[in-house]
Amino acid sequence: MWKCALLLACALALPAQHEDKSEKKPKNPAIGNPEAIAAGQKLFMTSCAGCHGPTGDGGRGPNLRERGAWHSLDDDGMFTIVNKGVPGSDMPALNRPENEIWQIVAFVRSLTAPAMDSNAPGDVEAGKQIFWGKMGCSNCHMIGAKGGFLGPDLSNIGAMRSLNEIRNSILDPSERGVKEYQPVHITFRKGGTLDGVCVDRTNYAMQVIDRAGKVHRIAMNDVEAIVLHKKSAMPGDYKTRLSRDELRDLLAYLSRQSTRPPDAKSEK
Amino acid sequence: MKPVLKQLLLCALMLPLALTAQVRPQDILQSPNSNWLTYAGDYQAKRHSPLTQITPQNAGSIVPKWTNHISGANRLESVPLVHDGVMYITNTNEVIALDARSGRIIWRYKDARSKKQNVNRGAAILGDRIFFVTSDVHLVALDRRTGAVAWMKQYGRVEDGLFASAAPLAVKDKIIVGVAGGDSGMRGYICAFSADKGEELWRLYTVPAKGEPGSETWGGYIEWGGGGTWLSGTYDPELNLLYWTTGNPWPDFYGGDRKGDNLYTCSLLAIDLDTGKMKWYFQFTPHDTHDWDAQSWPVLLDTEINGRMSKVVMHPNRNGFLYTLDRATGEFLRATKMVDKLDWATGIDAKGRPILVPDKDPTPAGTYVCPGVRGAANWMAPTYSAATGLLYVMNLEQCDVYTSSAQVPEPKKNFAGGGASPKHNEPGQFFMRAYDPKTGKRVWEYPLTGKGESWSGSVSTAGGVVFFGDDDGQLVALDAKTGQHLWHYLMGENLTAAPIVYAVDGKQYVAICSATAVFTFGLFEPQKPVALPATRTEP
Repeated sequence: MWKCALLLACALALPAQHEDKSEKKPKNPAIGNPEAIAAGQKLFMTSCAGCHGPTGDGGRGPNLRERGAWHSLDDDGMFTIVNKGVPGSDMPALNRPENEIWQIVAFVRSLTAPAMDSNAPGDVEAGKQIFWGKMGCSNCHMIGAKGGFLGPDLSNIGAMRSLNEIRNSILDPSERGVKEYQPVHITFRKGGTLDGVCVDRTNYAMQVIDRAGKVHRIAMNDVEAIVLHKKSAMPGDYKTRLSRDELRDLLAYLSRQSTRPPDAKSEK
Repeated sequence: MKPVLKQLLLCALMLPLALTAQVRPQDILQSPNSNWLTYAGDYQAKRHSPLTQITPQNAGSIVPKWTNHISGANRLESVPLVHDGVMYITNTNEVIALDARSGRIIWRYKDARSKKQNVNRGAAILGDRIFFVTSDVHLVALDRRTGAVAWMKQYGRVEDGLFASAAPLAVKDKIIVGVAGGDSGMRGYICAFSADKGEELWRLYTVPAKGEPGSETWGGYIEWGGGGTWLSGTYDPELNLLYWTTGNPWPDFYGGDRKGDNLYTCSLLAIDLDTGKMKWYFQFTPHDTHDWDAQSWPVLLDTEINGRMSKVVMHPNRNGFLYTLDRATGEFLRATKMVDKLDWATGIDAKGRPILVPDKDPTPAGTYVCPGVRGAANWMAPTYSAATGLLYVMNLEQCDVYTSSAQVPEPKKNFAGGGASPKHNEPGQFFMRAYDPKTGKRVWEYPLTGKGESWSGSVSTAGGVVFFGDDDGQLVALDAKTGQHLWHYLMGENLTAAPIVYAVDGKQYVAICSATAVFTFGLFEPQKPVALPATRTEP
């Protein structure tokens, strides 16, 4: 019996091991390494920022923060591009030692890596105080099922978004357009109004959540007029209200919000 | 009963069925009626059903009749065919025949050995055969009753950058097919096969070879110049002309190495059915650098233009203009703006060439251009209603930032020479719009909600209803005259196919493929209880 169980376990384990080996290449140690990323950032500023912009947002060269521009490249592919350039294009070969090129690759990768992998610097506890107190973030956002209803739940934000995306969402919440949680003011045919954020809307039905957390399921036949706001309900002045240190601390706190503990492999 | 007698009786029973159920060329000419016998419903691409049971007055009583989730499907783009109560849909390298009344599968043919796995837009039917193309460019003829393979002919090579996705067109005794792959470098063509044996009868390339007329409109890369033919065409039996549209030149977004008009890309070709010779062409977007394939349905109409009845072809183009051409000569008659967001040309001149706004080519830093890469119109089927005299077109109001790359183009490497995407805070919005063919002007519009991701088309009926898939995964019915909403149904998936209308047992149905399923709708009627027959299985 034990023999059978052991064989079964082996049979089940073998394909998984095989799959694992075929799909995952060993990462270059620079990838995800905060020191390598920091070194890569310095190199990027001197060698790449002229075309790709100091924050990788693009200029004469493509935007590197947009996954679409280079998502199909694995680390090795990106290394080759940085090392050899793109023949016939304006992207030159970078004549630098191999370890420095890997540092640049690590930095470019970090632009879109989940925030929890970026080991964001800052005072996590101070960031927590900012979130739950001074800046009133929790009036609209939840973490751990506590907080407000008008913005997205941030309990897993560190695992879902890059540090850069979180930073941009704080400093310029309407920059990417408001696709979800769009502020709305509704006037009903039978009288009365409703303010909240639009969770979903078609020509025939709408779901709105108000500040108290009540979900309103609305049929369009009951609605006289809808005013949708192009700008996010999130205040757009955190750029001036948050000091540099406060922003750093808030990012340190938010980047560590993950419903699952960090992957054991990535911690190594 | 003796086996021989039994066989004779069986044959006698099946004979009338076999005789009546064959699809003759004249049946396709008369389609649609109860049947829907070709991709566009008819040869003119009007997509207008003469059925009248569903009207603006009773459309509110439409209910789902059956749904069949097609295992393995994740993006059905198929326009169903219906013949004699049987529906034929396609998926990647696959045809499925269903009972159009119950939705149950009758047979299923899958080519598991195809070298490619691309979407498929539909089949053709003629005689006793169903015709479709595999992704790796084979034309397959199947028995309509069983799905048995009659023949299979390869007409292009994956190694040459080709794949196939369009529904074949059955005309007289010929099956006409095209090829796709223009975004990665290939040389497009249209070819005709004999329906009975699958013999290739003619082939017309959409990009000339070096030295041929038209090659002077190219710089480099003519061998890989594109001009895909990835949408089915239309046909005028009187003129015996096929109308087929062509795709973008390659590389899509970088035109520096292919200076010139790049004939015959982004064009409409009129082709003699018998010889395969091009009678005329009209190029909508010379030297395209925005991936504005001309792949929108060429709708053939007889309508009044400037007070004179004219045989025209109307073409809602991806570049934002609604064109009207004389379909006998290709003469340009008119172009009107379909979308409000259009900034690359100030208009179309008297000869049909766009009057360009400078500096609208893609650049490495990005150039903001309207319409976006998906186009103001695309392969979302338009429809012309004989009941209202209006042409209905799904328009997308969207602008994109187009980037280019001068990287040395490598064919077959998924290199398009750049790309395009909308600004984050400017998502696209769809509008179902009605146009008057006499003037080319907008009569009414119905704004849609959604993310600008749909690829669904429309169908109209003599009952006065227009059906289309919206941008929220819903089938919608509008009053064809006024654009007033009548009915909608949420299917819960992004829609990438056009609806059809058919009838079985005198009852009108509307059917559409969602991403993974076929949905069929009709007017509500209470179900009668089914008395189960005595059933036994003999050993």
